Amino acid sequence: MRVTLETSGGFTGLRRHATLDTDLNDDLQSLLAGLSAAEPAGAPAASAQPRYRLTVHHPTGDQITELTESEVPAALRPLLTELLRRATP
Amino acid sequence: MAYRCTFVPPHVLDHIAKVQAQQSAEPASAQRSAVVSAQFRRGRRSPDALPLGQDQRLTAEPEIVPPGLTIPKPGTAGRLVYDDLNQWTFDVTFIRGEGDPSVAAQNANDAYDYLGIVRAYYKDRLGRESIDNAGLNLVANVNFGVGFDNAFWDDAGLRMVFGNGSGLVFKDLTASIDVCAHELTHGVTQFSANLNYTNDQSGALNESFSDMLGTAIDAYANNHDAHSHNWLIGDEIMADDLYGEALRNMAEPGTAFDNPLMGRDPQPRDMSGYFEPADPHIMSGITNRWFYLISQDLGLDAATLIMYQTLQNLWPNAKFADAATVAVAQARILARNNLVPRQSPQTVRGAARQQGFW
Repeated sequence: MRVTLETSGGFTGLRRHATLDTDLNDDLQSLLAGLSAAEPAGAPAASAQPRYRLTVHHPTGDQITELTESEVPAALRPLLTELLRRATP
Repeated sequence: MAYRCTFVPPHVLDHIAKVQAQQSAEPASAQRSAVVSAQFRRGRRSPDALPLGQDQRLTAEPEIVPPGLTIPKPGTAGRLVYDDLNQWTFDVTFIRGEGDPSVAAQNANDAYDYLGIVRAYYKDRLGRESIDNAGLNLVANVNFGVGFDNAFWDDAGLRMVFGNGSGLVFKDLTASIDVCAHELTHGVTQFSANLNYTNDQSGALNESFSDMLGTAIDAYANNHDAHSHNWLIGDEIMADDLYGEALRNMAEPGTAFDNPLMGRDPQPRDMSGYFEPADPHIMSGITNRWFYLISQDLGLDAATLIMYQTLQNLWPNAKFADAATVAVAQARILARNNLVPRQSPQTVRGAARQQGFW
């Protein structure tokens, strides 16, 4: 499954992008679905924290999740770390 | 979660705040109402964003206090430094409190010292008691995460967070006072104008006020004036391979960086390059240069005082033209009291016109 990341915010404010083809396990898929449902993408940011926009490209359509740094669940951290490692301007 | 309705519509509160902001140096009651109203609207989305009462403005206190370390009393603007031990969580180990001796880690000592300089600048130059003007304790987290290439103000936890940097783009983000001063000023904004952090002019103003105060405090700490300061943001935290680059250039927005690791600086110089929606870090360059131009004529101290007073009297959805209107009114009040040069209102207007929003 293809996952993309866009970053913004924090002191640096740098916008970076990454794409990863990976097998998301069921737990991670459920977590992302829950986060996406709880926090509709595109809602205005209330915070200057670093911000992550994750898009999971399903055959049926894109699932978008937006999180600030302090909202990142521990279970999502390995995927986010791998995406950040690949991120480019 | 509690849902609240406001009786007076937000746009009416904003309008009254705009009128009253031109009449006094002190924030008017309508401005405070507009700020609190916006906080409640955000609170419907996130309970953490609800307005904090005085008794709720408590920063984290450690569960375990090693012998010999000092926990400052709440409301005393005391400093607390935590080592996150490269974990992705906050307040992991308390290592230094207010008045405690230096520790082995240089980044922890830098964070402690810079918090102190920012606190002193706000108190001595601007008469403000810490972030909330009520002595909020100052919390810094160092060594957050692994190779974390950023720093930020946590508006829910009321703490400053510093990464170590990846070493490819940035080095440790405690390395420069402008990082600390910029991020703590987001806290000051949270407790004053509370500008919306949105992809429009309100968000750009939120970022810009942090760059303005951040660079003023950086210059103050290094004994620079408006002419000797380099007006770069983040130049001291660039990794070795990017030496000479910076994150933002307040004097000439759009020229701070151009390299494969960071891309090219996207800031427009003035309103001729403005578009929406745009990340707050992009359009902030327009008002950053406004501040630079004012400083060249009036000096950094006068320009900073005018902008600080402007921040105290703005409201959450303020636009660039609103900032110009309030800044001129505040410049007139300050000039009448011999706190800034007499020509300050004309300088503020002229610089706004040069940038294209007056």
